[in-house]
Amino acid sequence: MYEQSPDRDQINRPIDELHYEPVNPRFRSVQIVSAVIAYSLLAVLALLLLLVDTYWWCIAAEIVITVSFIINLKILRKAYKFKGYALREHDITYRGGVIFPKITTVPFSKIQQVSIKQNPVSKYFGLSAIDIVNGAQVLSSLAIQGLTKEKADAIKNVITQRLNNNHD
Amino acid sequence: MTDFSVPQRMGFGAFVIYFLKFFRLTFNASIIYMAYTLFQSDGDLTKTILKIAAIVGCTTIFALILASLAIFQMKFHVEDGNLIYRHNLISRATTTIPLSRIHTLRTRQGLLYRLFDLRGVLFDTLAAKEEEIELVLSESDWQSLLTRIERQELTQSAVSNMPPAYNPSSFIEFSNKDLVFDALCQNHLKGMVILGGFVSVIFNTLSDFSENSIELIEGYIKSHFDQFALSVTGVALIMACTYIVSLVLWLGKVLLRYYNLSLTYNSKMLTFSHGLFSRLSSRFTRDKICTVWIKLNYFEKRFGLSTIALRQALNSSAKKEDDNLKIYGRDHYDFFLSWWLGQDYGQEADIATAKSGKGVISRSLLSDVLLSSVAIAVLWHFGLYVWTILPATYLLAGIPKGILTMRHSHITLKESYLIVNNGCFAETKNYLKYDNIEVVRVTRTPLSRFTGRVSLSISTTGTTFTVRSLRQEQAMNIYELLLAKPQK
Repeated sequence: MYEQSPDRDQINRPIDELHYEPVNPRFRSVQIVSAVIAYSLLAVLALLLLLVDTYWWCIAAEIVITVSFIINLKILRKAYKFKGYALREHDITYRGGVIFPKITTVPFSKIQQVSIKQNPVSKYFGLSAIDIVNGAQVLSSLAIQGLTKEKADAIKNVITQRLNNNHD
Repeated sequence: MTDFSVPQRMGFGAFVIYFLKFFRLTFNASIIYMAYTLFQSDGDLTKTILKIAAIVGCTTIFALILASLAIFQMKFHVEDGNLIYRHNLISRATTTIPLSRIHTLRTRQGLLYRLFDLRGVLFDTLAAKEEEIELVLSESDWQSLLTRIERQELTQSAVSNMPPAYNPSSFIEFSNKDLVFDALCQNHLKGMVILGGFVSVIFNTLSDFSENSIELIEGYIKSHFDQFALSVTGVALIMACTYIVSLVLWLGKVLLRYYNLSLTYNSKMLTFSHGLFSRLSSRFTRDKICTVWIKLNYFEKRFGLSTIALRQALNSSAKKEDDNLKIYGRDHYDFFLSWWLGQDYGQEADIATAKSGKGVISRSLLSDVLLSSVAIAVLWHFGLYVWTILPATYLLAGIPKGILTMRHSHITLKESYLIVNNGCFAETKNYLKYDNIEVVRVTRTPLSRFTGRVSLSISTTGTTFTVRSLRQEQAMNIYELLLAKPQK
């Protein structure tokens, strides 16, 4: 079984110098397919404008949707490159975001539950997401997407082992 | 007795419960259609009965399908001290909850449950966001699961569950005079805005009246208040009246809620009792408090007053009622901080500190600029050129507000706690313990590469703070310290 435990070199590294494990390259396809589905639905909905007004509004809406879709694809490419996670001795860190890049760290001792999720699109590409839930009121959930099932399971095992060992 | 070591589904009894729940849901949804069918019938009773029977049949089949799916998609077991359940049919999810993290087990046993000797079990952790999944278990399975959870708890808390030391309670009574005095020192402009909103609602309702009624009111106002119409004095008088009304309402609210505020405390718990007509009580356990909030505006500082609030840890099933308690009056913050942080809290030296930069001013001004621009554009469009002075003044007032926000915004780390300062006109100090920090986040903006400034967010079980425009190296140093401190 794949073992995902904190790299010895990583354990005491500061957040700025951490080596972030990238998400699986197949996640780019997941993002593209999800975007295509979402924008196709929007484009179909925009066709309803034909029923209420002149076709110019419909054309304008379709143009806006298409341009947004192209911009979104560009952003997704950049977002994929920045996404990454790192495990240290006492915490897990996730890096994400494009316009407002964020680094979020959750100490293992604060984690309340861990979920591994798969939607139909990510399932098709053999990927999972791990949802780490803590007790915070606002930043209550840290979701790391684009992981293989083995990696997601391994991260979950590290977290649950830490949690159970902390209490022993 | 089940040992829950292998993934299993809920039993037949659970299926019946789920079916009846879904049937009630779908039946309620189809009642309107059934009533419509009944009233639209052309007098042929057999045909109508057949139609209704068909609807009930469809509802039953639909409920059966939903119940089957609900039972089929849900599997659960206990493995290595974790409760693991698989749920959701389309978006598959497997959730793992360490048994040690379950702090409340809620059970429900309504009439239907009792008929089948079942129990609905819900698990609560400290997570604020969690899916509420009910396991419907037989009585023997429930006992077996409970034993496993209790066994887990016993192994963990054998040492920590020592009986608490004898703790005599003390009593403090807060002054009503200070309460009124501090209530008068608060910002009453918010009350005026609310009252203004209320007046505008009444005005809107009035505009729906018949033309005659409006003319009648208009005539009355003209005959009695003609000298004030559209004059500066008139506007000032209306403003003054609104202010007095909002002040009276505010004082009434504060007195109703906080009259005769008293506190009974020992080393573990604070119990407040307050209220004019009905006495309310609020309890704060020392280990559940996650933030002590202290607000000092200009008048409060001048007259030795303060507003204090204690924020508690909350989970998804907890109520927020106690968290609304505010203590107005003499500056008692030293007492609360000594009780919560220890007697020597004031002696601790600073470990690290960081102040916000000018980015806070521009951020604070951004919303004001947008709001004022829209207001000016609208007023200009309708030819109300003189009135544009109001949004322009609001925008100008935003500048000192932004400067004060920047001055107040900073973070200080001490040996055993940290202070997050914020607020615009009033200075607010938030005291936190390192143990209460759940998540730390640093966010960069598109301008960060030029300014070298970032935002730092700290979230606890009951509160979240963001300190903006901090120097990146200082923010990262604090970030590391915040994560390292609880481990020491």
